[in-house]
Amino acid sequence: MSRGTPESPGKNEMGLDRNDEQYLKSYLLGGLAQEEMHELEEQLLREEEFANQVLLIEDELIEDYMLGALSDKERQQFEQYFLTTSRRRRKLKMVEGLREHASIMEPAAIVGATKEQAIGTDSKDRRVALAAWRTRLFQPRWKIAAFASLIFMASLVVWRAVLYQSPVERGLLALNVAYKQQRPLEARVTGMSYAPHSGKRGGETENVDYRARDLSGSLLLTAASD
Amino acid sequence: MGQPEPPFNFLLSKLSSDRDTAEKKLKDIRRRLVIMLDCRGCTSSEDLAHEAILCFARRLPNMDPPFVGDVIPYLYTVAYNLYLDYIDKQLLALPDNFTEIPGPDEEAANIKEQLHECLDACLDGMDPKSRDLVLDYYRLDKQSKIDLRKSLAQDLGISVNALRIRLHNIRANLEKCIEQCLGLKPPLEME
Repeated sequence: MSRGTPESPGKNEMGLDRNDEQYLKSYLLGGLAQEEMHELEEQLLREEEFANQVLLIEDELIEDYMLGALSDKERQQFEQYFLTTSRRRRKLKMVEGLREHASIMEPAAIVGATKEQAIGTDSKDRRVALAAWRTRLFQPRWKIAAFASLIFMASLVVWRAVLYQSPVERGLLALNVAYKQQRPLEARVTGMSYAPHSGKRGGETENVDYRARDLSGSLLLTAASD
Repeated sequence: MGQPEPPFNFLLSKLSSDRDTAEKKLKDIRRRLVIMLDCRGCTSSEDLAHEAILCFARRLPNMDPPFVGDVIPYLYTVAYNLYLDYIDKQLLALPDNFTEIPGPDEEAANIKEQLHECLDACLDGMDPKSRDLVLDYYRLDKQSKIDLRKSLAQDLGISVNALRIRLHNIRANLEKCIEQCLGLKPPLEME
């Protein structure tokens, strides 16, 4: 690997320039010839700092992939060559997780330092506490499913206890409506509202809501047959 | 690392006359060997690195003429040959009674949930400054990477490259924590 001395212009603190970085990137993506790989790997085995540089570029390659900053060819090499080990796949998932976490967190002290000073410490503490609360509440994501199930079950209980009417209840209601003007028997029937007894004999017209009476009959018969 | 096996004694003496220094050197070489094998896409780089060092350490005392000089090129050749054997074995035909071919992402899918839980726990355990830095970095990573690094580095009063190294170290620690949380071997480290 044609690397210059650490004093060369354009070198960063890890002793890498852009060409070095690109070279390491190609190595990690399996894009170097065997001869070049041998040379690079011997250096990797010999120099601790160089090994750390390889790991740093590996990290940044994962970031570039996540950001869609790789070319089509590099992306293909990344998926087919780079991601063959479980350690790297885990690393990719870790970065995905960090991005998810970061997206639900409020800006922290470093970037928002100036803003923080203006808003005040109390406000920052509240926001951090709120973010932490949200994280604790909804992370990991199975908690969302658990909360949804709980809400569904609670709704079911409320519906059953308050809103639901059985066919018998609906039948009795309809019967009440049918005979709200006059009751059919001289004796009072439990559960039915008060209505005067007509005292009329057979053949005389009754003051009854026949539609409600038929509906009641149908509902009560259905309930009895069930 | 503990007490090394007898075959390692000769190798250690070749690395340094001081036992502790030699052990540290061997530990570092093993770590780098794991990185190298990992870079080759080897899925059992820890085991292969151990095997390479053991194989080399066993050969070393019996060499004629006696071995002198730099151990790295020799060790590299041993490791590379073991890697080639490993590749050959990977290409062996499947047994006749093999019926199920696991999907490539099966393992990843299985541990994803657990990994998220571990990430939560590890982030909670981090020092707040490092956690804020890494989360800020990923929260803002939709910006141009160069601009983002510049702005973060400026806020921290450090150079962009120092920031890259700091972030790399934070991720490495996080990765180590997650590996331990998942009950796996710490990555790229000697036992």
